[in-house]
Amino acid sequence: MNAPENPSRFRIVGTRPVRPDGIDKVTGKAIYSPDFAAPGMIHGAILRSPHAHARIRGINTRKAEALPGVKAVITGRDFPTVESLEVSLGEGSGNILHTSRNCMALEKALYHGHAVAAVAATSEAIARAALALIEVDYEVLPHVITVAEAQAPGAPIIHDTVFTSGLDETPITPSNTSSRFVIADGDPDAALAASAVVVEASFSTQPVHQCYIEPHGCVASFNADGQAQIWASSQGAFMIRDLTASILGLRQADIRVTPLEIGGGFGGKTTVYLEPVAMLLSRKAGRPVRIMMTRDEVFRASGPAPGTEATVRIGAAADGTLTGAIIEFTSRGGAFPGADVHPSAMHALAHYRVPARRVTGWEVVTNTASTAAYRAPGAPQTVFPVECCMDELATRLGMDPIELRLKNAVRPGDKGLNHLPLGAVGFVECLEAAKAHPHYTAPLGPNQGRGIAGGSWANYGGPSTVELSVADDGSVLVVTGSPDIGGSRASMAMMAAETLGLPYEAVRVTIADTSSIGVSMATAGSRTTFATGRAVVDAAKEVIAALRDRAANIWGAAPSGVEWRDGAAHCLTGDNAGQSLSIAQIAGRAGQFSGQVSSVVSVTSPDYLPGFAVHICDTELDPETGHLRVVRYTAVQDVGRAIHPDYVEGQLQGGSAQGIGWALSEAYSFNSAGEVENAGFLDYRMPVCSDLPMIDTVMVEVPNPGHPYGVKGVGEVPIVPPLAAVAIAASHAAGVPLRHLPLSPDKVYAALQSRN
Amino acid sequence: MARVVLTPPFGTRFFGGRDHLDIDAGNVFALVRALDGLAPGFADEAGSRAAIAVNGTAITAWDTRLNADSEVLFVLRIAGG
Repeated sequence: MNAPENPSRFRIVGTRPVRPDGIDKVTGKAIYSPDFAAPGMIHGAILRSPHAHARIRGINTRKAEALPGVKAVITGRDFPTVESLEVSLGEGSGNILHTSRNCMALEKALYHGHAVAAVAATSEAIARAALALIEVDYEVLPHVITVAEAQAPGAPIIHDTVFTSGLDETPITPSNTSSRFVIADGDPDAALAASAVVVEASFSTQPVHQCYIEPHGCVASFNADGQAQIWASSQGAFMIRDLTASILGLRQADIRVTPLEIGGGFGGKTTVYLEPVAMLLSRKAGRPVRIMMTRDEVFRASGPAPGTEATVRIGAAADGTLTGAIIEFTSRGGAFPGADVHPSAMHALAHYRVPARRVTGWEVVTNTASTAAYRAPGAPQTVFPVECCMDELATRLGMDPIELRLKNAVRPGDKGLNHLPLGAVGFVECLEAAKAHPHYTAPLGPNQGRGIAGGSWANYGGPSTVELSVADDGSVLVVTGSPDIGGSRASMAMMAAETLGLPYEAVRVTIADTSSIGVSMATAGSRTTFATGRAVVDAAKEVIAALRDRAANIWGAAPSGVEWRDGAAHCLTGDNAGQSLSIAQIAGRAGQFSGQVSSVVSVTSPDYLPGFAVHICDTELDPETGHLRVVRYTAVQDVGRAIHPDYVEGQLQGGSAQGIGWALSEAYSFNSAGEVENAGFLDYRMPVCSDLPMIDTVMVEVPNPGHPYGVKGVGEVPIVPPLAAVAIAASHAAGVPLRHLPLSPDKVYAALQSRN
Repeated sequence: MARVVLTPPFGTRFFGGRDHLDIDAGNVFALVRALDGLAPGFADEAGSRAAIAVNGTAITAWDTRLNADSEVLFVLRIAGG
């Protein structure tokens, strides 16, 4: 590790205290979704379509309802009618009708595994037995799995209501091509024509799953008076509440969502699959209902990241200055529109100065599970081809690949992807750090190759609410609505303790339910340490002001004559000058004031900054089998300021590992019926520890002036560069361009044979 | 009149491909109302999908005041994972 060892003026920020939720998690006391049980709870199970595309002519549930132990059966007809409406989902948006239909099909099943009915029974075994008694009359329709199939002339149209958006003229016939998104600056055709060097190539990535270890699960309980509760593992309890309310026509205030611990999300737990289903079952059964997905269901019915096919043309002058780029890509969106086409387009070139560009993204719907967000949604798929082309440009120009990137890297003041001038961004610093790292110049062994790749992610702010209160003994309680995915309890406690001048252990953090704290957006978009952390610091400052005021009253001094330092008030003026009152001494006199000192702060912070990263990868090729192994990996990232370096390093390592899996081994396999053939961890090959080297990390700290401690989001950028870093390294090892992921042994071996 | 800068897809979807408009409005609420009058549905779209900047600074409060030389940028919000 190359973490700075708290080089700043801070007491706690930048140190590595033990996480407060650690003991519960390592001893099994922490309550995840499969652990939670409500009194009187029964068990739900979901019947899923055995066809990739089929019209539902009718569903007969009578036999299932008659099975002893069955308390409720629902189908899509039990869902209220909702209109097709784009609703705000915090930082993004989505069509509530599509979200509802993805929870349960109505007219058509759109992919193998699409929910078509659900049962609640006194045991899970009875619920599953009842599923087998439900008779669904399907009219099987032809299906499309790939982009080529979906766009082929005469292809079956998945949605009669989807017309290609973003075209110059509004189409009059429905299409599987659901949208086009274009970003254009300058005249890239002319720029490329005038370039000294132009690289052009085609690339592809496959849809990949987020592979969180904990499957989706929830318990829902609906009361006769219309009030309801949900206990769920997700990235956002408020998101669960709001989507469930919208889909079922309930009032948000009538649904109380209690967040359970989360065993990974990576973007995939920013929507609902089960909660509305469990709620309808509970309403019908009059009992709390638990539904847990199996791993098989997670793979078949929850959203992967879209796969993408891309063609890139990128040009440079003889000195390496980029002149122009034209990128066209198509994303496989799955059953419903909503793939990450615009962030894909916006991030493709966001880390470089390119004076003339045209990026065109298309989204195509297919008979596969609807896609969902996955860590920097959309960026890895388009940065991968761009970075591979940058490497080829460097080779053609005879330039060092880092020097080429340094020559073209965005800098503070350049126009960012949101058209605003970039603030204190550190891509150049990352490139310099990568260049100086021993890894970059270390000798390579036989059959080894090295790749370097950069990338960025926009990050986000959004709303967060925090309550901070001081107990009578001077200990401090922080309540937030941000689920703790990556160690945010610790980082919130650290920022509060730092601000208040208290020991880290004096601050305890609770993740509250949606009826106990104001709104916080989901823990997504790399926003929580930035936005919720800012609310924590602001609340701590308000509490300090109140404590100073109380101390001044006790001393009969002016508040301006009281200083807060080292967790205590210090009197600077008057008869009591030189005296101090600890936080406990002030808090213990709450009864002599208007009660406990506390503060509730809501923030919506727009001053977040994008993150940038540079990764170095060495791969080793077995030329006899085509098998590739990553033998050394270094992730360099501008992290703003690392509040808890362990957790920041963990984000860098985790994102790298996921990106390596995307590059080397992960992909869905479909049979001719459109059924996923590898819906389990034995066959869906995500990397395990033995597949990976120790991933070295370099945290470059270019603080964000928009945050009290300089925080930038760190969770998503690390998955952006690995696809290209691995592919470039592999291409150098193989001596042939490898542009179609995953780089499985058969594919690499075939490329070696074609080279030979 | 405030200068409205429309990045994709707002210009193409609502304003015939125009990338800017000049609108007289006292704040962002009034501006969005005026734009919705020109292109019904824009207000809903802006509320659910747009990030907004005034004079080069990202804003979240739609009561942000505008004057005659304000530049207001609408850009698609980026979702995260």
